Amino acid sequence: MRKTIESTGQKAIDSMRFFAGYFAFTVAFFKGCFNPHIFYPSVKLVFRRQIYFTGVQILPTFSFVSLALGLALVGGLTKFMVQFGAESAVGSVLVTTTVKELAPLVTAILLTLRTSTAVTAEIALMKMNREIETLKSLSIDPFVYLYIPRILSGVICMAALSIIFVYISILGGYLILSFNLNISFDFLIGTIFDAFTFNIVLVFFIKLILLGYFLMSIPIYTALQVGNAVTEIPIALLKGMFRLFYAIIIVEIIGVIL
Amino acid sequence: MSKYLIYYEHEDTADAWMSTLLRYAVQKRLGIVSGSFPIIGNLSVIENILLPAAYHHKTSYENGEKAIIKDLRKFNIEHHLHSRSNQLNNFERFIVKFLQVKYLEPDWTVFFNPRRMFIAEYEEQFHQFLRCEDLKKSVIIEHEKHRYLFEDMNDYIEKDFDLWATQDLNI
Repeated sequence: MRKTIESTGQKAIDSMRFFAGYFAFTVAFFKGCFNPHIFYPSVKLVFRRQIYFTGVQILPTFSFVSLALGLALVGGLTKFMVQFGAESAVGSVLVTTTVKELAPLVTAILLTLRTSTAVTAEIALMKMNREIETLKSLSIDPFVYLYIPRILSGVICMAALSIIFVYISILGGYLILSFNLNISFDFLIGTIFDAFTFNIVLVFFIKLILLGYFLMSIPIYTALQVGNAVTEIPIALLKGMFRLFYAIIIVEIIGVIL
Repeated sequence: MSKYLIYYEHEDTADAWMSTLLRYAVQKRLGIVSGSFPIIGNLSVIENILLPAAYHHKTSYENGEKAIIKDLRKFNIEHHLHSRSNQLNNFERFIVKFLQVKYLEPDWTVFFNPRRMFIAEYEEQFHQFLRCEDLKKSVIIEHEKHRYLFEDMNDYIEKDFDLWATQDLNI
């Protein structure tokens, strides 16, 4: 009994420590955004590279996944609704499922698998090899040079890829529909645009910003907890991914509430 | 010209000095050449050297490239322009670290435990480097047991760390 209480207490303390540290990290991130050095060539180079690694290299896989999900979900759902005479609800159902829910979630999952893991390993190795100390010794703020470009590129790529997902999945869905049902592309696009509301667009962008921020900031913050042992890197990777998983769930809940 | 040699006897003293210098370097530009601050592994040699110049002085890649090639040629390592840290030997890493610090344009260049940065076979090259390189304000901090390495360095004066820190760095 005592052990259970102690372990629960320790977990609570660890969680509080994480939230306090992560809050301080977030404050430092926003402060760093006002540092004029973020417009200097060295930081721009890191930003461009991170955009390439996060948003460009993933495009073939991402397009395939978007198309496959579009064929299955948009096509399947619309066909199902038309068969049951619910054509009028096609737009709102597609917008809610594709734009509000699926696009941010699928993009977040793919970016987590590809980029967040890589960023955790990269920052953890830099921390272990004292390369972050090197930056400090050169009067270079690691927030400005390392973290801010990665976090900003995460937000931008999250937004860009989610929008691409919406387009590709709707196109993929239409491919199926055009073969099976007598539905014109104009009709599909028209019903989708009619179903767009300010709330849906707002929730879509709130989710993109939050997910983009969490996708990069949580792995970076977790990687910075690594000490001097190589064995700490897989542990940081595991912790980072679990924290990110919880963050994605929280964002999804926020999306439902809004 | 201010060139000092500072010796320590215990590792604890060296660690304390290093912490003091790092705290100072975060605020003001101090070029620390030390194995404790390695070059960045996922950047090439040219990117490593250009990093402080691009961050502090807005130097572009195109503008910095020619100067860096010229500097690397002096040490016969211009072929390593696009190499990563793991493709360099200990002395080449030391040179890249030194050039990185040089492009920071610091008031002082500090060689902290230089003996640890390269193996014995590069000792002569290191001496040659110190003799040829035009360092106006530099400090070598080394363990007492390596004092013999710097006995012929006549332009370097032995000094106390605290004295240097208070008089020259105003710490």
